[in-house]
Amino acid sequence: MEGLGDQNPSDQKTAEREWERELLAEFAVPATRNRAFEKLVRRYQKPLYAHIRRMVLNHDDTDDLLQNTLIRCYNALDRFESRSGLYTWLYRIATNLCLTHLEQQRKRRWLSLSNDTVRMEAELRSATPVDRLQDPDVLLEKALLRLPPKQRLVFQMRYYDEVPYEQMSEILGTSTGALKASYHLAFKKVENYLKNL
Amino acid sequence: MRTPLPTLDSPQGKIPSRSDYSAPDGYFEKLPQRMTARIEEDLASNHTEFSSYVGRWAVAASVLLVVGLAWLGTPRGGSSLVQGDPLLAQLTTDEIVQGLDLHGTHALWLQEAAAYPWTEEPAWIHPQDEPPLDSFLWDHSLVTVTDEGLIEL
Repeated sequence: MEGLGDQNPSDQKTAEREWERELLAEFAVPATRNRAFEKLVRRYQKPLYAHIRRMVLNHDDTDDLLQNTLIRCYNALDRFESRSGLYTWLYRIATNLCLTHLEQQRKRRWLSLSNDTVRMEAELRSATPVDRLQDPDVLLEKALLRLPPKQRLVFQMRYYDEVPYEQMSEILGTSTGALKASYHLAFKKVENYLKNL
Repeated sequence: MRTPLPTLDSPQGKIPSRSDYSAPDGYFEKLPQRMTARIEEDLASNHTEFSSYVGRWAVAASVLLVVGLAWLGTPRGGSSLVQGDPLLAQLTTDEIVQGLDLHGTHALWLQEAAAYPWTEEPAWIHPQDEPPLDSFLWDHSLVTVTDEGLIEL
């Protein structure tokens, strides 16, 4: 499982749902609960790590947030109602934790949004080798730091992961229309920034 | 040579997501076991917390029970008359005073009496024990004998 964009074919989706059903059945039995949970972690840890890391940039915060995401999942998994896919649900938990974390960091340092961008840029520089600082992927990431966290998230999900708007709507709790508008605005802002470099 | 500036819809395709955001070596191999270990640890500490929580409430409830039983078993307020009489025991002091008033007893006097209790009871508490007046006067040096043999108060 490397990205949500790979899930589109219906047979893949059916297989995913079947896997989820088996996992939930295994999780419901106390004797096999931990084994089922380890399976879940193995399956989703890499895409979740990438998603969180792109938002918070450094490994330590990513590790904390990923563990918290998985703990919350463990505590609520027996009440999971399968209205959405398991990965969508995990993605939503991780996203909410990331947004809360970023907001808390900003407030803890008494920073405005623009000053927080400066802090995040410094974070980005420290996480990037010097010879990579002018590479297109790093420049794009720098441009993304100028967006408010939620808009950045929308851009990343759509541009990098190609998450369908319907699924983004489930994850972010926002209408598809609003998400399309948000993505369009984000795209224009990033494009302008890159043009003026 | 400087890398050309990126455009989002470049002819070469999209700018890929950064691939060098790598986790430390062995991170993903160890994470599943780390998670289950952490969850077991959390469950154990939650159990301990719950036990100590329950224990604290049990101790508090026992203390309250003992205090409550002691309070119920302790005679409270009122005179011996009230304690001895189940009917009077149901009445408040004010109700008793009002009742006595109805029977011609002066409530104010009763209240004053209650406010200034005897500290030393007189020796002749019963009328038949009261000494004759002259003896009382001599005993308490309230009379003197004059030179003429007269007695003065």
